[in-house]
Amino acid sequence: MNTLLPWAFLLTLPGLVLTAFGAGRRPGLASVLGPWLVFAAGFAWLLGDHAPAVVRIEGWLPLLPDAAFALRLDALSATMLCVVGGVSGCVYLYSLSYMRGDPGQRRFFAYLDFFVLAMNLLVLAGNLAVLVAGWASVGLASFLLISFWRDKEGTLGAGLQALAANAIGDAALLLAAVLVPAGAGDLTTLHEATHLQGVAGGAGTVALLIVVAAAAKSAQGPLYFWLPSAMAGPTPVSALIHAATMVAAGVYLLCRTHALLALAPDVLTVVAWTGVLTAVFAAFASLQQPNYKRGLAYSTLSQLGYMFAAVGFGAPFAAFFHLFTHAAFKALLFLVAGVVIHAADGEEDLARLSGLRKQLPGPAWLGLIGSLALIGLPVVTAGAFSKDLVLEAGIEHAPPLGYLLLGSVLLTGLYTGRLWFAVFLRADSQLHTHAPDRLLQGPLVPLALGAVGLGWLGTALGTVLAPALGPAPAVHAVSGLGLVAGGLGLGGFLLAGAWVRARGSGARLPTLSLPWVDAAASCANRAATGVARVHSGRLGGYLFTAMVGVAVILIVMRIRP
Amino acid sequence: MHWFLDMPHSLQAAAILSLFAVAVLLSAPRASVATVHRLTLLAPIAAALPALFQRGPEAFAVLAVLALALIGALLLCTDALENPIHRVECGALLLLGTAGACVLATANNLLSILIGFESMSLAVAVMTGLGRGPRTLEVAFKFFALGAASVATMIYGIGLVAYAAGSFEIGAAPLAGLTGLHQAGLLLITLGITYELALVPIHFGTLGVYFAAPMSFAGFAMTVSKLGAALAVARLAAAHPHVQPMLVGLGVLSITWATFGGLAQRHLRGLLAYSAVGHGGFLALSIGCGTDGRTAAVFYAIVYVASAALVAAALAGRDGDLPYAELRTEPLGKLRTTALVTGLLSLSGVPPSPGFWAKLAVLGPSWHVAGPLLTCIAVLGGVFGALYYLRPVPDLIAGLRSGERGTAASRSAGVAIALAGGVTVLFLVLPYLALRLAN
Repeated sequence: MNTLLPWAFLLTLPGLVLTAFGAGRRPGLASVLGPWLVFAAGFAWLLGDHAPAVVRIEGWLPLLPDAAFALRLDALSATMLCVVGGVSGCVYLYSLSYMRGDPGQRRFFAYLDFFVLAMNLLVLAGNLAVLVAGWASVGLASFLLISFWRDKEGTLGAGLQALAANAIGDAALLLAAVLVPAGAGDLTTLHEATHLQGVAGGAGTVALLIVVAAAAKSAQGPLYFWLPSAMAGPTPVSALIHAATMVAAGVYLLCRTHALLALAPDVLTVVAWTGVLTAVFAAFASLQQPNYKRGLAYSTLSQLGYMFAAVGFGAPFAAFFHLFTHAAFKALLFLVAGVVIHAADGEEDLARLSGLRKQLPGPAWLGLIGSLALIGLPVVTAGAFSKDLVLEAGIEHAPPLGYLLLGSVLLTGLYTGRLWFAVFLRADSQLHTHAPDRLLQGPLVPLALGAVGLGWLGTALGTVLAPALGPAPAVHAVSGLGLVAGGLGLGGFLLAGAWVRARGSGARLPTLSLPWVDAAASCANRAATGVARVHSGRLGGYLFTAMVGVAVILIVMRIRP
Repeated sequence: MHWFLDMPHSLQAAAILSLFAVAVLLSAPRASVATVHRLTLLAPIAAALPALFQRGPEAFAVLAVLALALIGALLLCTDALENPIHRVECGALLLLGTAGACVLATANNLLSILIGFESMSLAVAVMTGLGRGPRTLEVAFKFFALGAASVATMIYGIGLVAYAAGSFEIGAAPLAGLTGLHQAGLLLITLGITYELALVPIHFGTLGVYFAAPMSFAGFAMTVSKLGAALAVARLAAAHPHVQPMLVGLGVLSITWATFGGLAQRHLRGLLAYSAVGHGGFLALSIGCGTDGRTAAVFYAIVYVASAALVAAALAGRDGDLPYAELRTEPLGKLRTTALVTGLLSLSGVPPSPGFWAKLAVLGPSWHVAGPLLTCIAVLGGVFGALYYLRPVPDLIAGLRSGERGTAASRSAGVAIALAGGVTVLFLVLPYLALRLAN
């Protein structure tokens, strides 16, 4: 049985085939079981004897030095399978209602199945070759899902943006896969010194390439741009891919290769700074958004920044634990947003969405639970448990960055409160909504339970993950730091309520332009125009350039008679 | 008959192609245009027959060139010429150019390289000049003039090598004390050939052809000429490793140049022109990276020419620069749009397209030989290059969904799309096949 479990990534394949070929009365129904089976496979391993299950088939991808098709199911991948299976299971059920009546419903579920298959391949990858295949396929599936509504303005462009940003990560990961010598691509033993002999720059080079790949997938640092645009896709996609699973793949990869990263302290410092700066920048950016989903997207960026920072602080368990709890409450927040948008006939503008608590009481309360978990309200929410560990690691390993992260909890409270109060509490809109059905609201309940209760699994998770991530620190329900962070978050949340009450649902910070982004774009544009202008059509100029070029080449090559 | 069978495959193919070219020209006054087309189409098939029963790199090179020529011949009747009567001359020139490419691709002798290069380059220049459009003559003249400069460079280089080595063989070693002259000669020869690869800084002539020539001729220059030139440069680099650093440098320079140039383009012609420069750069980079690099270069060349042929087939018969905005208002038909998007995605190297596998194959040798810095520049060039390839895709799809009836592909263009598209899709599913061919 143990040798069959790594093939769990194929469990959504029957659903994909059946859905794609039109089986079933109701499009998508054939797909619903797949993710729950994936969840069950992960859970079954966690209940077992915890012996890693490995599959290795040699000679699969001869273009790479390590050509084997290798799968590995261990504590880390099994837990991640549970996250992916659980969240996607809820999203599938939700989508049955959300996408009802859409002419492309069947295609939508086929794409979802393809995505979950690719994501699980990525999770179960035992070596770099399989990781590359999963990594690239997830990017492709993301493009298909973001641009699902092809007629909607901007969706195709947003999908292409995601594809291009992901391509940067793919290229970096590929380069890492190409550099690692034959037979040494196993992800769990990548850090062993003998494996990296002969690689220019050694462990640092491979670690840096992995970090670039992770940053692209998790939209960190300068590669953040694609995630907010990706909100053009259907909301279930935003919940599944752009909150809980695909964007978390970067963090997962960093956790998986944490032993390699530990060999490159400079790279870890870069990771920590990237995470902290992204957390703070994205929190400010969320406060500037007029659109509900984009506000949530920047919140995701900010929380992924926490996870990155945790890896940079040398605390991979804290990062993974935050990924684990974040998956539940962020998927919940996105699905609540989906219910609201669905009820309001597609309206996403915060200035127009307001006072919906009475019309949508269930989503309002569930949204509040998700928001409080995002803030990290101690004891009663899962987010508090994991965020505490990240902050503790930060203050212990890099105090300035740790305190900066602690300060950004206030911003988390502000942007979370702004979104919740704007949508549910302020009553100055006459927006007509229709009541959501049970199928749309039902999947929110398990996610809400997760947002409340998953934190209590921290200690058990730490024990299970110890062989993969090293010894875990103690997980506290209440700590001094946790109370300070919770107080800051709650303060920000209430402050945002007062702000929205005073300034209206559309209250937001003025949009600030980022000079470096503009400058880089302008520079590239000038260079591009300059290069194109060289092709002027003047034959004399061409001949002169060619002659000078040939002369320079001969001089550079130091040719002597 | 024995003398014919004893000839190298490339010369057998060149002889058959030349005979057909003569037949095409002679048939002109009496035979119909359809007969001329049939003869042009039959020629690459007939020329491929001797090589079909052989194995080895030479036979493979000849078959690859002839397959591309067949696609070129299929597209010949779709292109707009200044005067339709010149279609006969174009057919003959296409066959003569292909004969040159066969010789160039398999040459072991410097004079064969020169003859192959000159035949190919003259054919492209004249075909470009016969095309319709305000700039074709001007572009053809510039291509001819710059090509002549390249030939002059090559001849000078051949002279130096012959003086230093006392032989015209590619692998001939220099006599004592003449190593410098020999090396200079080889560098000049390599530089001359790279004109067809469109490497910076001698890319202007070919860039002009890609911009202005009728699509099938531009496609011929992008595929047949490039494949022939790449294989010739690979032979030179294999025999004389000291030209490899130059190829690496020019390759990276071309990739960077093409990335910026491509980003500034707002029409498909410009995109494809800079794309050809960028891919020439990847080919040169790969050829410059030792034995593994040359295998990767052949793999890259196979994938690139298949994708470029697909794009050329999809656009055959469309005049003008093809601005992106025009693709919305005057869409291509479904088949052509699908073919074009598939070709562009493959050229861009977006995973899991064949172009992606080809770039992947180049990365390893490049890192080990060219070093991390140049490889990273090439990778970034490849990644940002993807941005300009993807730019027209939304316009193409919007055009398809606009409800406007697109211009459908002609029957011969449809066959060309099927051939090039079939190979591209085959490499998508089975990248090893291309790798095995390359090996």
